[in-house]
Amino acid sequence: MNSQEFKANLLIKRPRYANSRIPVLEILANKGSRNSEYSQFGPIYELYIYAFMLGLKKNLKLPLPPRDLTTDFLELGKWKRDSSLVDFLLMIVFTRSEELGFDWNDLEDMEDAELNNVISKIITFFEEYANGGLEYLHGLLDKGELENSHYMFIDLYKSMT
Amino acid sequence: MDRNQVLREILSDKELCEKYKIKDINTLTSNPPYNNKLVEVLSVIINENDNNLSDTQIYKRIKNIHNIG
Amino acid sequence: MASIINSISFKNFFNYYGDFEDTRYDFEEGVNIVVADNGAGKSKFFNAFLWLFYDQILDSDDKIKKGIKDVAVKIISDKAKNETAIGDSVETGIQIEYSTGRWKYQITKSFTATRLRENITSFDSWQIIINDIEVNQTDHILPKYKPVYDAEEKNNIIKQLILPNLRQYSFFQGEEVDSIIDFGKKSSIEEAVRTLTDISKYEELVSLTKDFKDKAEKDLNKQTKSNSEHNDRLEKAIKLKEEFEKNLGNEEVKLVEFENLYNESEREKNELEQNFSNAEKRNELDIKIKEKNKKVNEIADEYSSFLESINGRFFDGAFSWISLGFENVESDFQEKIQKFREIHYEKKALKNISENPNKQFHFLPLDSPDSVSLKNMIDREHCFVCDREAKEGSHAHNHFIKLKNRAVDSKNDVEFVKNNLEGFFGGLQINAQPFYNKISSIEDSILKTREREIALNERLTKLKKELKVLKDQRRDILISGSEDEDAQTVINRYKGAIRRMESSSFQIERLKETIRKLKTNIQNTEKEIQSLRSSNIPEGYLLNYQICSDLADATEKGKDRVFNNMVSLLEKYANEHFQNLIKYNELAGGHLKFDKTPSGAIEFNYIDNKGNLVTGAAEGFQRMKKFSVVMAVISANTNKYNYPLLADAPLSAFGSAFTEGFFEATGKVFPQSIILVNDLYDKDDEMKINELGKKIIKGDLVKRVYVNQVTEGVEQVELITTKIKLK
Repeated sequence: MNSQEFKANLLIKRPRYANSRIPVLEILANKGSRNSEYSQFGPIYELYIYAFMLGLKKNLKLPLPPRDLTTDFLELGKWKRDSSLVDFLLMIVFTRSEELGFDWNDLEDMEDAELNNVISKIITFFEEYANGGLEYLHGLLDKGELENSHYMFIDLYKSMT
Repeated sequence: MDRNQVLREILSDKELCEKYKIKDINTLTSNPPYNNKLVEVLSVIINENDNNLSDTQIYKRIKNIHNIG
Repeated sequence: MASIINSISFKNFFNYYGDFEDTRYDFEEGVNIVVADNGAGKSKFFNAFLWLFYDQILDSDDKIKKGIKDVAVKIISDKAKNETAIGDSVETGIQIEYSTGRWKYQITKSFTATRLRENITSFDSWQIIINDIEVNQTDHILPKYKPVYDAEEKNNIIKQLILPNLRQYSFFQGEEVDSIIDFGKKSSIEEAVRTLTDISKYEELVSLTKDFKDKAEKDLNKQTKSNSEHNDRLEKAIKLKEEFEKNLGNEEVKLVEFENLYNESEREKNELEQNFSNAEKRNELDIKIKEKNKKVNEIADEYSSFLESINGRFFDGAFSWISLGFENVESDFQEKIQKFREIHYEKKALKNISENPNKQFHFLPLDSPDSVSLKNMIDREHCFVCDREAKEGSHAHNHFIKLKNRAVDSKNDVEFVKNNLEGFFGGLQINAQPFYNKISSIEDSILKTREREIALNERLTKLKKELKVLKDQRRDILISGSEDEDAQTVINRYKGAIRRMESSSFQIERLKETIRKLKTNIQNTEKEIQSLRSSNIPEGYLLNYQICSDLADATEKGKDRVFNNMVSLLEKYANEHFQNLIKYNELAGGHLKFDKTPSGAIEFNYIDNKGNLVTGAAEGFQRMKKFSVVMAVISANTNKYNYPLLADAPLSAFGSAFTEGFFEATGKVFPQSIILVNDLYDKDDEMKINELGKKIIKGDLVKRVYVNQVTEGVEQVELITTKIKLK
């Protein structure tokens, strides 16, 4: 597998979220049409990325429930398609390669099957931190602690530094 | 509305007073006794108009003042 | 002895929510001011008196006075309506207390509304019952009120506060000043004079004495005919006189017709002038409103799009807010990629590849510098990175060539790892730059975002305010007559009116001359008749005729004198007041003069100190002119005017130069005045009034000041008016 193939295999993956997170997704992401009293992101991946980063900041890693209690959504490669956002996310992932249990140079010697395994681990990495972040947001929502302003997300994000 | 005031206002014309020999209009009143025919006629008109007499009735009174039919 | 209003209270009346005790305004002798922004209870305050005197209110939507029962539902406070359940009732009313020297009265007018249905704004949803008028009185010694039961007495007490025929000079809204003294109407001043004098009595006497003169003449002629011998000349003279008198009658009728025609034309001209300027003003405002509205919508859209774009800044490479807190990623990744590269190239070296052209270059990604830049540097023999010479053949120049060729060379590489991921990692690092090279400026970006949002919001608010001001102005322009007339029609009608005025004026002159001549002829003929009469006629008839004739003249003259004296008196007072009203204005100087128009109406003209007629003066001046005449009517009231002034003062129409003078003059003329203003309101001020307002309330004559406020930012049904007492 060369660099392009490796990247392509990564980008074709569709991360999953727990079905129990659907209420949060509906309230905080509008997929293009305004429908909630809270500030919103547009497509789901935006909220997902935000939750992922939130999870990383607060170290909230939460495994997903069994597969049938989860749903997938847009493939990684289509997240903010014409930008390098995903490249940045991957940078973050690869700086934590120890946590994921692989070494960069070892990757170059792996068989395809093993490489694909690494890819799966990477996706799981996204999923679990995102899940942690989403749960956190869910909690705030239930407790009514979400600020009702357009700066809600950025204020929350800043407060986590 | 003061009848005396109206009387004096109407008669405050120098020529008129001279013609009818009225000396001092400030002492004039619309009540009898009257020293002057002009004053008498005017007083009757003012008073009886106030008392809501008709014009024919008032005119009769005037004629009486002059002893004419 | 003056009537002084002691207090005015409201119960669930428009924006005044609550019971009488909750919204009570106490007043004193002297000047009392209530400051309120539009919509904060100013005209409603005024409506209380309309209810008191006329059982009406002025509907602010169409500016028409309507009966209480007809608009009852609109009158009830929205908050009170909302709180009344179906089946329950709410009471709405006004209460006024006033004192004369001896008595103090309390008058309450109210109605009860029972809710029948759901929709609280529909007239069908409420059953309205007008309650009995309550009137209580007390002398100033006993504290308790005693009720007054007799209906006629109740009505008298209400009337007495301000007598009907003086009400129009004592109780009016801003625009009404214009119609009270309508310079276009002959009747305006005549009415004022009528109010102030017993001119009607004189008019009765004039008609009586004229009548008696005729009768006396007839009687005399009868005597003459029966007494004298046949006297042709006498006969002829009498006939001639009758002829003249008949003509005179006809000419006088014609004169009246032309005078009426003149008046009507003048009135029409004035209306059209007003209409025209109103129509123009209206159009101007409409255009401005449209533009402003467009602007408001534009900015509103911009603002809302902006708000929605805020969250996008997380993921937009130009802002990269998502990277906040991930400052370490760049250096961590760099560390790892360097280590990776070392081992990666070691592996390559281990595979015995000779002359690894990339060995030296493994710190530089494959396409950095790019081949175009490399070619440039080679051709120009210059390094653009360190800005140094790189002559052909030098070490630097050769290095460039090697760098440029390595892309080609690497294609020839034999595979030395299973998966060459160098490109993958290098690619990530280069591509992701926008997301890690500006992390330090994200805080700043956030701040700037907030600032921009605030700026847009402020701009939007300002524009909306400006739009509201324009709309308020537009709403206040009253149009009488047809709204659809275009400018040309109005101009034509206007010209027509002026033509008619001119021609009737000419006729009036001509007729007056004719009448004068006829009267002279009549007099001369009369003299002739006198000398022709036989001496046998009883003295009484002659004297009767003489006296009646003289009295007819004298009464007519007396009436004119009374009228003219009053007009002069009004002129004198009007000037006094005018001087006081304009004394703080630099344009002061000059005086008001009353002139008679061809039709006998009275005009007010402002003559400057050089004796020139000043026309088209600013609106403030016009208002002051009228107001001085109104006040003159009050001053000329021979029973010292004892009634309060209740006026809604459009100070902006007066102009600030007049406002001070206005309050001073008012304080001197009226024992008590209650002035409602909005122009002194400043919502951002601590006391809620502006500089001019603060100056005015310092005056000695100003005894009481209230500022009305409307609760902000609440739904219509929660809107209530509260007051602050400043003095």
